[in-house]
Amino acid sequence: MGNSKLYKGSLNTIILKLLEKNDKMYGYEITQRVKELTKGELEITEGALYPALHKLESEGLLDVEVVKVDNRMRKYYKLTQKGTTETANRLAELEAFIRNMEHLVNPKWSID
Amino acid sequence: MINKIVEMKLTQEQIQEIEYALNKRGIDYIDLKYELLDHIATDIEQLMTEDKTISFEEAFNQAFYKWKDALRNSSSLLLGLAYSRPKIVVQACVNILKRGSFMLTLYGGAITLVLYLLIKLGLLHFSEFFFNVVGILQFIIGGGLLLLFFHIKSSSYKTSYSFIYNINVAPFSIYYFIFNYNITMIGYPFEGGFLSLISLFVQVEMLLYPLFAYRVFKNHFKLRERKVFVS
Repeated sequence: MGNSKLYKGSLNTIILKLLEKNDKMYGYEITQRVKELTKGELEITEGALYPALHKLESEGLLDVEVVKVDNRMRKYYKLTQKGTTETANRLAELEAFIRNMEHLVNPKWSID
Repeated sequence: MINKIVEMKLTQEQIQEIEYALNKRGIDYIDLKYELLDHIATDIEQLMTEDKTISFEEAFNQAFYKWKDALRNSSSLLLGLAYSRPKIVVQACVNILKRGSFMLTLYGGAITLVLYLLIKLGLLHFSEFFFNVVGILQFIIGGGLLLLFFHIKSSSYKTSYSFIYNINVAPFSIYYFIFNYNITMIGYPFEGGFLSLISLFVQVEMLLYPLFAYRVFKNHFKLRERKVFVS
């Protein structure tokens, strides 16, 4: 992960956003999709991804489906109704955060 | 989709080797084991597809290395420091317990406060007979929780829920015999003629706790159903 401390707080929102775009995903797929979208800049560690997924599942934001793929079980995650609503809320929060950071890091000075 | 890129597929023996390694590292809870197994197997397949010269053993070591922190033994105050398990197991169990404890404290606290106020205002009176009934009820709950414990023990697989039941629910079920009005009278809210808020809270929590315990029990068996559900 580029700067893990900066990304850590957004991990849950990143997962929710990915699941909003893709109907259902499994853990490995999520790590690869994040790597692909950020051109390798952001790598979600396995030790951070699964606790986050389990927490979202226990909060009722994610639902689980287990399917047999290539001689093994694969656990797919998908958004619940509550998860879909929560994704919109968390994305709005994240966008507001990014906007505020932009203002702080790159303030536009003007004389009124 | 990743599936389309992956060409290399592991054999049943190689999958079993990964499963064996996970079992050896203490990941024998099926809810976590099969998820990790799939992740590591997919990673190995990916590594072997990207680099055709790499052997299964090399890819296996590389894939497991990424999990070294998550598989390192760890403990938590909430689970009891005596229980050392891989970090990923501890995190999953702490997550379940934290949520349960939060709900129990929230509802238990609210009910206790209402009862406390009603008793203090003289709107609610409890007779000795009432506490005798509560005592019998707690005796039944304690026995029931122990029965469910033996039921879980007899199942052929382990889950993070069975781990929680073993280390949290089973010892807690003994309290129903210790803090029982009909047996020891320890924790009786009106001991010495005064109403104790803490004792009242403990009694309310003990009546609510089976809801959490039953949820843990149910989820353990639900995972077996989930395991059977394959396309």
